[in-house]
Amino acid sequence: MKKGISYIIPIFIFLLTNPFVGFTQKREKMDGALRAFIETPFMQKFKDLRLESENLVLTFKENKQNYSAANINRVKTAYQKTVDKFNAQLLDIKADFMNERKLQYIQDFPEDYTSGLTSDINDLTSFYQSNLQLTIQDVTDATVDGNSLLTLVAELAKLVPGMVTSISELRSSVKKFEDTYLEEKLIGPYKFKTWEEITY
Amino acid sequence: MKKILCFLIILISCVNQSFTIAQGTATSNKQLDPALRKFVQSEIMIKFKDLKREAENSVSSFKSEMNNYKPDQIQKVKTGYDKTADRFNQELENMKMDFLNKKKLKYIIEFPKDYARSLELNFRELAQYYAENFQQPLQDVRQSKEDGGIVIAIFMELFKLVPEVINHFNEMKEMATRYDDAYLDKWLVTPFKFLTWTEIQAEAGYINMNNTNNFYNNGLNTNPNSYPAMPDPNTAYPPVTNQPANAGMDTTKTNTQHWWETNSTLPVPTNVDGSAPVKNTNVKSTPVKTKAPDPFAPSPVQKDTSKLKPSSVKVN
Repeated sequence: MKKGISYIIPIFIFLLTNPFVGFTQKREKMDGALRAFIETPFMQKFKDLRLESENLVLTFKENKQNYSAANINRVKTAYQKTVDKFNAQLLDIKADFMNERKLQYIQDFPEDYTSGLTSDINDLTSFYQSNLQLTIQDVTDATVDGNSLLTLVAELAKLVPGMVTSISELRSSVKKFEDTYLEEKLIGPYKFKTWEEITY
Repeated sequence: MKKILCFLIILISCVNQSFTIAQGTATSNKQLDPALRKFVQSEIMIKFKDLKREAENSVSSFKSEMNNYKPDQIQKVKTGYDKTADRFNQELENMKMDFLNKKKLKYIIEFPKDYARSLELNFRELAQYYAENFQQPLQDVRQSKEDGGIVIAIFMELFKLVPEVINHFNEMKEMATRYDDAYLDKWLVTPFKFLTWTEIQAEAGYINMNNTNNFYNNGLNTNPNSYPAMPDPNTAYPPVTNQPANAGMDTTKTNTQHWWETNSTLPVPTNVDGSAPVKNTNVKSTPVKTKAPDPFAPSPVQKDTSKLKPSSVKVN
């Protein structure tokens, strides 16, 4: 009887801890793969873009006593519309990471995905230019020109191929990512803040 | 015994080879299937053809006034055009390859937005390439203030039409497995392919046989120093009456043929008096091209192609 128990207990413990071991291993794999992606120049630039846009809003907010409520509202709306587009792009990337077939497609045809993403980034550049940049220049009489942000978005498009290569590589270790994990590691740190969230 | 075996192996491989070739010919001779017909007649492909016509017409007009320009200026335009034509033709080839790649087709159906975006970027890059490499040098050399508005407008329409392509891919999904290289070459590439500089003749009505820059027209002259560095001030330029009566009109429609039937912007050259020109042995004649298939011809009564056995048309 004692012998039986001595066999059963280790098996029981193994069965209990095994899912946890599996979970930890999976998490480690995802961490490694996502870290490589997050360290790509594309994602670094994306973060720079986020910080620079917040800086732009802060600069404007500092001097908001010089502008009418209507003009402040114009800049606020333009900012919100622009960052919504950038956040949507980030969410699209997240969705691709969660789609096993899509990751396979990226690995098989990286050039197509690169072209598609470059096209999206070019659209973002145009959107930024014709919305936030134009409005802020108009309201501030070009005191705030928003050119630093424009340079960053334009550079982002050039970094797409490296970013796509990184996605192709991460697929060899992770088939797909989980929603909560990406929300925590990808969306949280890279999402553009709302107008109200930007304060000193 | 060994000899017989060797002979048999060679014989079988020969038979197999000729069977494959025969199959290929059969496939490429096949009628245009309804799905591909719909695609080659789609708005986007019509716009593509319009671009081809605009570019070829520009070259044709430029060639008719070439003796006004220095060789280096002509070379600049020629290189620009050939580079641009190569790019457009490459895009056609890429499209053809996508039709031939089953795996790719599957992904296009599954992720249409990605493919459409990628195609859109390619077209935008083509537009930029066209403007920088062909249109700009042409304007510089002509000292023209034309802004290329027509071409820009065509490109803008082309961008808008890109999402439509996906619907066509979807419709062609089943048939595409039966397309082969030769078939798509015939129906998709050849009718839309940009001609090379040497394949395009000067505008109809006046062909200046004294043109010292014929080197650029034919490609047979291997002597790069055969033209003067400066235009000859004594050159007698043709009077205005020598200009083609159809100047400014679409010269791609000639001899009651449609442009897609000739697959060329080449008008039939005539002398000033309207008679046929004497064959000039120094000038390379227009290459006799195989008549491009007419994807715009009315749809023949179709047999139910879905009932065709794939093996009867497929080339492996």
